[in-house]
Amino acid sequence: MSGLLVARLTLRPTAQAMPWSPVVAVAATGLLAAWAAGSLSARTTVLPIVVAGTLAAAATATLRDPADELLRPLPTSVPARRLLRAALVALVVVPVTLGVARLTPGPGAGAATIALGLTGLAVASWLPERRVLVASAVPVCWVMVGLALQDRLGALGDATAWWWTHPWQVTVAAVLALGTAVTTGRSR
Amino acid sequence: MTTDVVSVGRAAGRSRPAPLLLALTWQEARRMLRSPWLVLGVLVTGFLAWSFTRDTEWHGEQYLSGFYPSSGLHLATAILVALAFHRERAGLAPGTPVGEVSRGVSRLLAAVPLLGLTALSIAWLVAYVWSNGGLDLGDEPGRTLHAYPTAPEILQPMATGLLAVATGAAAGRRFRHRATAVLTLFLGWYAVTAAYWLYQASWLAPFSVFQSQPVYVDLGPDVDPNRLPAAWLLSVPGQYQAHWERLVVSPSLAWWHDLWLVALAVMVVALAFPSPVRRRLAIGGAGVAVIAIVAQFVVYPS
Repeated sequence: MSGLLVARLTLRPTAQAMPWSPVVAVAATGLLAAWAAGSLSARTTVLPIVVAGTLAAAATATLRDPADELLRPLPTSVPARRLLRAALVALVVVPVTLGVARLTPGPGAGAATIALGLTGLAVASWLPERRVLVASAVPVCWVMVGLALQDRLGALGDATAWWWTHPWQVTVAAVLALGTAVTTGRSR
Repeated sequence: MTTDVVSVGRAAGRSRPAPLLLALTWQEARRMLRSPWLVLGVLVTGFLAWSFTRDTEWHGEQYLSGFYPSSGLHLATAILVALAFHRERAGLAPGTPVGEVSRGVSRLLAAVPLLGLTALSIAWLVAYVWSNGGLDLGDEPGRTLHAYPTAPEILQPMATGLLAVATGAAAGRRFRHRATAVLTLFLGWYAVTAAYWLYQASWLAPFSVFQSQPVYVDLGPDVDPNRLPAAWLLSVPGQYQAHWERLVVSPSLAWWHDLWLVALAVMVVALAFPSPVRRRLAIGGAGVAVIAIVAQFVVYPS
């Protein structure tokens, strides 16, 4: 009963207050592009990867809450509110990622999406509260830099594609960075 | 006092529309030219231009992707115009003495310097091709090292630049959040530029954003390439084709495709304007688009 009450008091107003349009528009565009790529050719492309980066960026953008300053006196911290938002936006991101993998040839980019999304969340937790949109640029920029430089700069070039070659290590690092931010009181 | 200020502002707006429009255009252009997005677009275009000059993996790669370096500026243009049009959504805009249409026109005019940068990137491409004596195209025995793009092919990135302005205007005006506009434009432009080869089938190429030439015409089985006319450019059977194919560059197809892009831009930019203007632009653009599409199918090499 108490669980239902908490859900009613937190999930519904949070879902209503979240800016859904970035993630919904990117999801629709990504699914459309994936459908076109899959139905027009059997060749693998980097499109699922680019969709993963853009989707992670859109998901990070939904963390922005203009009422952060107003809600500061409440006992619920900014990281807690953001984690709730991240959980809600995952309900859209996960099926879209699976859908893109199903529509396009190749293995898809599920692990990369998780790594990039958590990276965006971790960066947002370390930046000032009003810089969420800057944090949302990180996943998509990392993807594009990785695609451009992966084969060019030796070890440094390899590092630009860690989100693809070592997604679980990136995920662990992002979770650690997030945990450190929460425990040290960043973005309280 | 308030009445005086408003009436003076309106009188000035009515009697001298051109200077007012130019002033707004100048303000918007200054914002665009000082934006970090533009720096990013120039850097991406520079990187793509540098990549374009590197070793190629197959004959004709450079010819088919000649428009590619400009795509960084296209994306930057779309985003900058989107950010400008997004300000129209601010609550203050309807209270200003200049109408929405004039504000929209000034924002479109402010994108002209960005199109100028696209023109510069095209000029660089032309200089590169001509200074190298042309591009590699075709496979032996139907191959040349001196292929030059035709005028409508060279102009295609400019027509696409107009479409970039239009998509930016529509996205900025209609999406509630800037992040939505920027990310959707990024993904949409990436899908049509980096994977341009997806949209080159004969039934789809007339509708594509980037139409690459030459067109590949299947010559059927049992063709002896040494018996074909010496002037024909050919493509050897391989992973993606079963037979010899003839490479045909069609300037008329490229001209009609440029017109299609302009018409598409007019239809898309209509979304950024209020109703009466929107309807006129949409109808006019649709009429020209139908003509351009039909003409492309008529002249498509077969």
